[in-house]
This record gives sequence, C-alpha cells and structure tokens, in this order.
Amino acid sequence: MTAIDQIPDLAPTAAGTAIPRARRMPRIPALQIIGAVMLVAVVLFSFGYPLLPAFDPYTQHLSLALTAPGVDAHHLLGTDSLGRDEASRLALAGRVTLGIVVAIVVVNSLLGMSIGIVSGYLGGKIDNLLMGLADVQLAMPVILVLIALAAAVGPSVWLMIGVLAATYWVGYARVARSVSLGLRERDFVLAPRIQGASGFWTVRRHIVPNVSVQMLILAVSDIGAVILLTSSFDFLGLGVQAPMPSWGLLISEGQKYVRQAPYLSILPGIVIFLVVAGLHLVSQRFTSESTPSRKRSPRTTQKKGARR
Amino acid sequence: MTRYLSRRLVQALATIFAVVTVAFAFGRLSGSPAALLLTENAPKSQIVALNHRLGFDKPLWLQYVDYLGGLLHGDFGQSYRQVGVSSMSLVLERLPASLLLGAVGLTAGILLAMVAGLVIQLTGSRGLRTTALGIGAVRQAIPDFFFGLLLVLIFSVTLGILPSLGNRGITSVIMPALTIATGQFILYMRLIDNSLTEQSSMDYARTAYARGDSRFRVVLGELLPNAFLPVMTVAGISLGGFLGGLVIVENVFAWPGMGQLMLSAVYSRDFPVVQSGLIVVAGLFIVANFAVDLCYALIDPRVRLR
Repeated sequence: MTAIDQIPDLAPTAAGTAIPRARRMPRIPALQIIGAVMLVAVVLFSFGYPLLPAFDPYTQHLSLALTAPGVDAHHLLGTDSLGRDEASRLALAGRVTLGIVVAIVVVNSLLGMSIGIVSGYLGGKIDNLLMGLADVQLAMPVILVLIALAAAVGPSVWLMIGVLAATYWVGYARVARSVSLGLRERDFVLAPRIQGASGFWTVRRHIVPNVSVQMLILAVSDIGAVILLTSSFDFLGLGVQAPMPSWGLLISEGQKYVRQAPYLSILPGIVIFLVVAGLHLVSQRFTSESTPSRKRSPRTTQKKGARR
Repeated sequence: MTRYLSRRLVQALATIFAVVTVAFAFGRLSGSPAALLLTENAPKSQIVALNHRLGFDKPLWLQYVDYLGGLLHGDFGQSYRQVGVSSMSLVLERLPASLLLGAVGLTAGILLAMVAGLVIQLTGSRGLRTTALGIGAVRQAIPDFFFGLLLVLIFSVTLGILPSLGNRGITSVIMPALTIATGQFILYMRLIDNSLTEQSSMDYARTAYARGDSRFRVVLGELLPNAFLPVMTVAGISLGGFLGGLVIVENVFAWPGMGQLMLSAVYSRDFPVVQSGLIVVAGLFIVANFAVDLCYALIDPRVRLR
C-alpha cells in the first residue's frame, strides 16, 4: 500500500544542511514568480474587492439579469441570472472557498501531525492501531462517505468540512510518523530522556519543531488539492449551499446558463485554475528546497538515458 | 490456489460486512428518517404510520438484524421514494452505463499515457517530456467538472457537433470519457515514464542492446511489460478516487449512471438507494483488486498467488 504514496518522501531537515542553503542568495526561477503572481492576484481580489463600495453580492437587479461583462459600468464582470453583481459574488466566493479550505488544511495538518508523532514516537501497538486506521481511511473514497452521510442527515457545508477534517489527515500522519520514527533514536532526542526529561517535553522541544516544517510544506502543496475537492463537492451540491457563493457553486449555477451566459461558469473556473496552478508552481519550489536529493537525480538519470 | 481463493473470499465478505454496517449506522444517524421524508408540517400520526411501515419503531439492534437477514435473502431494502421498488434493482439498472463510461475513460487515459511514455522513450526527447508533463499539470489544475463544462462549451455550444447531455448513442460517451481520460493521463504518464527510465538502466536492457536489438524492440518487447506492473498496482489502489471522479463526471454530463442516481438519492433523501449503491461500489472494489492480483500473476512469473 505504501509503495505508491503521492507524498514525496520528506527526509527530516537536519539543521546542518538547511543553514548553508539559506545563506546563499536563492535564485528564484521565473515559473515560481508567475505562480506567486497568480496566487496573490486571486487572494488580493477575494479579500480586497469587498473593501470597495461596489461590493454587493446579494442585492438582486432583475432588470439587469445576465448582463455580459464590460457592458454595464457598475457591473464590470456582468451579472448573474438574478442580476447580482458577478464580481462581488466571485470575491465573496473566494473568501468562502479559501476560508473553508484553509480551515480544513489546518485541522488536517494538526490532527495528522499529532497522530503521526504519537504513532512514530511511541511505536508498538499504538502505532499498528493508528496506521491501520489510516489504511482504512485511504481505502474509503471521501466522496462516497460524504454522499452516504449527506443522504442520511442532509447536505451542508459543515458536514463537508467535518468529513474532510476527519478523513484527510492520513498523508500528514504518515509523514509525521516517518519523521519522528527517524528522530526517536537520535542523540539529541535520547539525551534529555536519559537526564530525566518527560516524553511530552522531549516531543514538544525536539520532535514537534522538526515535524512542523514538513507539515507546513505538505500543507502548502495540499491546499490546491483540497480546493479542487471542496469545489467539486460544492458543484455537486454537497458542500456550500446557496445563496452563499463558492467557486464550485458559482460554476454549477452558471452551468444552467452555459448557452446564454458562458462567462458565469468560465470566470470562477479561471479563478480556480489560477489558484491551483499558482500553488502548484510555488509549492514545487518548497518541495525541491526541502529534499535536496530530488534536485540532482532527474538530470543525471536523463543524461544516462540520452547516451544510450 | 484454493487457499488463496478462500482467503480472498473471507476478506471480501469482511469488507462487504464492514461497508454494510457503516452504511446502516449512517442511515440511522438522523434519528427519525420518516420525518425527513414527509412534508415539514405533516401530522404526527402520519409520521408514526410511516415509521411503522418502514420499521423505524423497532429497537435499533432489531432493525440491524432484520436488515442483515434481508441481505442474506437478496433483499436490499425498498426505495423510500419509489414504493415497492427494490433499491438494488434501481442501482443495478444504472450499473452498465457507469461501467461503460469508467472503462472507456480509464482505458483511453492509460493508452494515451502509454503512447506518450513510449514516444518519449523511443525518441529520447526531453522537450517532448516537458511538454507532456506541462500539459498534464495544466489539466490537473482544472477541476473535472469545469473541464467537462469547457468541452460542452466548445463542442456542443460553439461547434454543435457533440450532444451535451445524457446518453444518446455512441457520440455521447466521447466528452465524459475524454474528461476522465485526460484527468487520469498525467498520473499514468508520469508513472510509465519513470518506470521506463528506471528499467532502461537495468542489466537486462543493456544485455538486449548488446545483443544488437533495436531500440524499438527493446523498449516495446523488454521494458514495457516490466513498466506496466506499477501501472496495474496504481490502477487498483486509485480505484476509489477514480469512482469518486466518475460521480462528478456523470453529473456534469447527466450521464445515466450510478453516480447520478446516488446523488439524486441524496437530494430526495432516499437512503436505501445510497446504501445499495455503496454495497455495489464495495463489490466493484473487491472484483477490481482481485483482477489486478490475477493480472500480476499472469504478467510477472515471480508472483505466486498464495
């Protein structure tokens, strides 16, 4: 099961290798800058636009329904089927989607980190039990769990958040476990234990700081995946419920008017693309920075292949 | 072999039992399903009557035993909404459409990835690899439901050459299958490319080259069978996520499959249909993983089924 882990095998960052790397002036490749610009543009729009006086995501102007972008000066990105300002809805949807996603990722990483550290540091039966639990969760497709629960208690945004928070921690737990497993026998962890420090103190002082760096890297590259996931659920009606907008929900509302007003689904689609692609470009830098070995290997293998 | 088969059978039954139990527990979470099925201001007597008809007035453990007993007789419970219709027959009616779409989409995706991987390996072109990976990464940043919608915009709305909704003959399968195939493409292309590169530095590959075999022959005859092993493993493991993606694609294109049925059952609170759907999905999961194991044993002589 573990053979095809999507998560790159992140080795614990020994302080010795990290410092000289940081001292060098880092050369930031163009792709990463483009990624950061895409990301910042969406975040700025989502959180900046609501500060402007034009922000009004709920008022309906039925006479202006389905105005195309650029036609009405008051509604630069057009209006939806109820005449609500599309730019405002898009910005609010951004705040809603990003808020939900960040909340889920934070809960997942903290939960996964705690479970992984306990599992890796204590080992033994607890380790077997927790990792068994993780395997069970991996075998269950999140969407089917959500469909089953939504059929029973009714779909709601809290249900979606709850299901994702409860099931999506496995990746974090695995990395946290492998890192703390590797640290457990190291001298700087063993020494305070021998001097009488409690297990809890040792974990907090020596394991948590090392693991949390990895968790942060994982979290950044995970945000894109969670955006795609929650947007899909919103699109299916299993997440955010109208009249509150979210990117996925806006696309689903726009789908009904795909012939008359294609911009209603295209605009939120572009926004999702910008964030996810931007995050992908930015997080590639993180993962390659944290795992130095990955930087060298592709090039050498390619050269070998080319010679043949 | 018999020992292997009996062990797999026990595992399969345990999985089904776990799914059935979890689904049952979920179904009773809401407390009084009858109240949800009726209109908001339904009189109390009506709720009580419906509770009685559906057996919700019995103690929970008895409901569970009744349900398990029913399963043994092939009774998967009746739909709440279509009275008298077995929920399982509703699901099975939709199963072929889902299987068709899933099979066409996955096969197309893997074939596409294989062709790309082989061409890259045969030409040794770095630019081609970068292009394929780039296209794959761009596709990965577009959610399936939006990609499907873009296809509809281009091929149905603008060009008017493909039907946008439902299942109206062979052309209907093109866009949903394309959505699935392009989504799967990057996963398998990366995998095939990596394992082909890895295999090409193995001793047996060098030996074949030393024999004077052409590059074409070595890559296709020697490397590809070995590179295909991880593809099967990943296909088996990622089946869960794949079925989840199928639910989404079916709903974008109103494809009359299981996923669409289960989602509409969510909206109408028809829990037995969802329950039967979950059992069928679990069954698919078991069959697919069994098939992967068998294929493994067929392709790789080192693997013995025990």
